[in-house]
Amino acid sequence: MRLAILYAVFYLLVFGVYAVNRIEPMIFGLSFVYFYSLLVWAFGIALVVATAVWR
Amino acid sequence: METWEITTAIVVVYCAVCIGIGVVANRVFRRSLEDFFVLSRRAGLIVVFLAIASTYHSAFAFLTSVAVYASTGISFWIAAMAWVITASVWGYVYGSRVFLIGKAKGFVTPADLLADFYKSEALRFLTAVVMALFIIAYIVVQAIGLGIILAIGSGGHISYQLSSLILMLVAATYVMIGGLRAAYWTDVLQGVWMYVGVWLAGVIITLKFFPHGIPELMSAVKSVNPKLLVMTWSPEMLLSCIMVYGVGLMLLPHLWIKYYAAKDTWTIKWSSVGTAIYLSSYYIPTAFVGLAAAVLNVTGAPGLKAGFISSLIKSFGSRDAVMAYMIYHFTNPLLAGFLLAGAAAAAMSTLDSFLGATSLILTRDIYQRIKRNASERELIIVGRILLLTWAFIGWYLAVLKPGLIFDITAIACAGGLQFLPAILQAIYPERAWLNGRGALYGILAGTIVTSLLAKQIGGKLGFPIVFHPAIAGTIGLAVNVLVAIVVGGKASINEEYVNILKS
Repeated sequence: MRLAILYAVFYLLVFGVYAVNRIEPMIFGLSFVYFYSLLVWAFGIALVVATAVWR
Repeated sequence: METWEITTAIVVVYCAVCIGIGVVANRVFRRSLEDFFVLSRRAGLIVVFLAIASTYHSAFAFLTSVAVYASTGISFWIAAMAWVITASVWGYVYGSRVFLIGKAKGFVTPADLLADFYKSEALRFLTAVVMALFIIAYIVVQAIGLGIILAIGSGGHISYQLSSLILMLVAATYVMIGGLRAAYWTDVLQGVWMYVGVWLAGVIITLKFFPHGIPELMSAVKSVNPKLLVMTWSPEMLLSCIMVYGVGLMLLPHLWIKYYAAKDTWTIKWSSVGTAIYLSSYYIPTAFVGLAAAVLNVTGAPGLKAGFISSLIKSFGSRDAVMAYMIYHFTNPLLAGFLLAGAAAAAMSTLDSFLGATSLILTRDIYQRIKRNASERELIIVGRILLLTWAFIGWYLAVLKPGLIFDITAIACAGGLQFLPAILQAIYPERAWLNGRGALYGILAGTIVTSLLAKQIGGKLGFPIVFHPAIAGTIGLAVNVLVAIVVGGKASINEEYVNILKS
């Protein structure tokens, strides 16, 4: 159940790009939305690892 | 030696190694259909992980991701990281269950499972035909990629058509000699080669033009075309790409049968983790090259004319050649040969599995049903002939330069997506909601709708409303589910499958 909730959060964050779809402020030289997507990606990878550990 | 001779020689050496692996695989081959196609179900973690990862990533990842980054920017990354994570998790969920059922019942093809679960030979036939037809799009994609790689790597001395044919025949040869065992083994080599290659290419090419690294590149992109730094794809395109590339692609037979080949569910579970990391991180260096190409296409650079992408489109029918072009012209010849061989590895690691899978499903699900007393030796020979036939069909269509790899790949994956309702019922049999009739008509309706709505098929047939194939596939899935439920009617629980999955 907790995995299902976390995956729902992941996809919400993926589609959340439209809410933060801008260039400024640039972070580490990256556009804001690109930086945001990298964070979502890191969360997604952590989630896949968590799935393997928990199941 | 001239540059093109060095790069071509390295690609030739790479091809020789692949054929050598095919010969070795042939020596350990146990002369049974099960060993020829699913390695007697004994593949361990490294083989399964690299076979799935390198098969998933193809000319699509090495070539077209750069091309799409160059035209639409980071939109590709946002969608791609979501669909590869989806693919990894979905691969684990359905792969483990498909493995358990396949092992318990001795299945080799996707149609084996669906036909048995729904007790329908018509469904077996439809599954084999639909998969074999949609696979052609994927074979075409690899043929295009291989043609681009060797044509550019040979400095234009070998034509696109001949380059494609030569490398297609290399892949067909080692699969014919060593079966899918050769494909699995070469996948391991290719998976490492293409990953190292893509990162080297990404870092070297980026630093060559933007020595201060990513901030300098991003700043240049911002000044040239700021839209490349934000999401420009619509939500429905994002959703459709996740569905088609994340779910549909995993349901195509070349990946499906890799789950049959695994030795246990632990292997599948941890290969999914490796796959998620491998597949998503692969798209980071290609973003560097794609965005760099977008800038250089406007500004030009020493040895590179502004507008070079347009001339590549004229030569190859799409912008897919950007990556190979930049590798050939902006890295030293030895490295260019290594990197282009890595690009060839990306295409061949998928092509070999597709050729093997196609010959498998046509042989087992159609030929063997027509000629029931065929010996295993005869089936393997027929499989090899079919493998070669599909390779030639793919090559012929690639010669016509049908367009961007990204779009053509979506056609094949959209076809794979149409099997989602049927497989979901089979791997979650505890609740009955779909019967054989519903599955059959659902797949049929979904496939027809997808084909008609896909720009590359429906558009050519004169259908008035067409979409990108990814969106067409998602609409097709919706129609598929609707038809499956309405036409199917009452379904009953398959106790045998419930027990297999429980045990």
